[in-house]
Amino acid sequence: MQINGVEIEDTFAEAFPMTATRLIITAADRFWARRAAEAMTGFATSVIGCGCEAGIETEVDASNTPDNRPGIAVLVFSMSGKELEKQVVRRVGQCVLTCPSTSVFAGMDGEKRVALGSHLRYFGDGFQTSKVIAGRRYWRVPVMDGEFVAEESTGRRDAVGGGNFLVLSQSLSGALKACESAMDAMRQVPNVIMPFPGGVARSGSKVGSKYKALGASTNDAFCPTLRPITKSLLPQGVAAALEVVIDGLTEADVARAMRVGVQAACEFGDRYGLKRITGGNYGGKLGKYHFHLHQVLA
Amino acid sequence: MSPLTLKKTNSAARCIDLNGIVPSRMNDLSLSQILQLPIRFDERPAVVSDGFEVMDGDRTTLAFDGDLSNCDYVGGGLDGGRIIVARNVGDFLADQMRGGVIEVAGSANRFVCSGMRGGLVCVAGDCGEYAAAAAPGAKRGMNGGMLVVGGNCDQWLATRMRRGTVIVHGNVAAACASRMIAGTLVLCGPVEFPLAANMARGTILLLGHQVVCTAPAGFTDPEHTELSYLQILINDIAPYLPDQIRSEHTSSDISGSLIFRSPIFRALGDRVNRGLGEIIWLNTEVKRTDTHFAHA
Repeated sequence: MQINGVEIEDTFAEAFPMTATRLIITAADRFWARRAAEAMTGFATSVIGCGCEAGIETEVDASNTPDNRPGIAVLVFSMSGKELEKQVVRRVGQCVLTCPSTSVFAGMDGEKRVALGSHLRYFGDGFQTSKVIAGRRYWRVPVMDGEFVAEESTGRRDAVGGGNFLVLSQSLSGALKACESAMDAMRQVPNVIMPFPGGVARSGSKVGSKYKALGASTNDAFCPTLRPITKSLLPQGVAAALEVVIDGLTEADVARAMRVGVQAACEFGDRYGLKRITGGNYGGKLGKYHFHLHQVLA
Repeated sequence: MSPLTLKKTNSAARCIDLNGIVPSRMNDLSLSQILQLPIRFDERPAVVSDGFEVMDGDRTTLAFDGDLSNCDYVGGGLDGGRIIVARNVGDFLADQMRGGVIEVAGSANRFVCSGMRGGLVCVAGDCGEYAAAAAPGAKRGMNGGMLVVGGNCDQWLATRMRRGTVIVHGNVAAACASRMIAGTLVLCGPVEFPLAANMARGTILLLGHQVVCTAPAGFTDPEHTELSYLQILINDIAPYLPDQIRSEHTSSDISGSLIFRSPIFRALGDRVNRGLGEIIWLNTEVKRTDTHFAHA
């Protein structure tokens, strides 16, 4: 299979079951809402080292937020409900509560809940009050610019993490441009985030390491500098490989984002020196979800 | 489809207790079985047929035809569906109500929504004393849901109210929100002092032009403030506000959402009891402390 002369390898991307929640962060204006969202989703690229994977999903118009202020929707993914709650409370407490004028609301309903205001309220030192409006409880915590409003809890649901595709190019600059095009397109897809910086990872990993303490290490098969001394999977002429990683609320969301991203990356494939698009997997033994590139792009 | 209707035929009884006569209880009953449902006349056991005629109809809605001024506990225990009352009702409207809607075209007597826990009650006319307040022997008043009063409310509105929302379009008599534990009161007309005596927590939102513009004794001076949660509250109560209030205080410049434009002032109290209750004014002029004692 080829798109605009770029080979699509007949392989699959391997993804994992995760649990996810969505938060709506609002503020006096979009600038402050985005600052809070960026801080909260910082250092949240991989569950391996960060405890969760998080990112900005989309901007939310003021007419669609609970307090009619400009908002940002944030998705947070983790491996368990307990860890998700720990990360959400810690990150909202340090990054949203602290940000001027912000409030935080549940962006998802569901029976499974993640604590939000119910934990954060204790910052109020007894001066906090709650208000039940239309069946939802909001905590009002006094802060130096007025009140921090946090909904009692947010819903969580089963999700899919680790969908991916790899962009193999003749040059690093070409690979970067292709990934930027993919990101521009994928950010329009709802229910997904790309948690790595700019949505792209250069340090794809393999399972295991020669060092006992490490469970994962550099994916030497895709490192161009190691081509002469390892069993390389890079075609001749490829100088850089970058990995786009996708977390989504459903399998279909991840597949849609992959399709949109690969098509955008390949749109000017020759200009970017793209040689091949492939998928990252572990032989199909670790992840429950397999996204076969040819099926996704069919 | 017209609703299942109970038409009052007996006006001899001094007091009729209609507790438990709600739509969910009648879903699977025949008309003859409905006529045999137990009620109480003057504290004595009776059945529906002793005081009402029944006309079959949509079982999700129960309509009462006639003056129910001597009927207490109308809608008592309602957990879904709708009850429509064409004229006045007696005491304890919506006692222990957990869901559904009650619409009263006339007025209601004392203890409206006293033990209410959920649902919506709309009274087009006036409410007697102790609306949303604790009933005799109860520690708490209204504990959830929403009460909308189109007319006036008599004394002791929301005394020991615990949770829920009360909206009053008309006047409110003295002793409103006394010992209020929590919940939300939205008052659109003039309010008589004393107000919010011994209030522990909760919110009183004063929207009308004629409302008192000084904080009651035991409250802090009103101060200009910005409260983002108010917009969430307004979004919830906007459909139940009088048209005049809606047009004066709000503008619909964000996709039909009502946005408050008036300056907001807030006082906290009552300081003799926790002091976390709040009175919020949406007036432009709020007087300061020195007039407290004239009103207290």
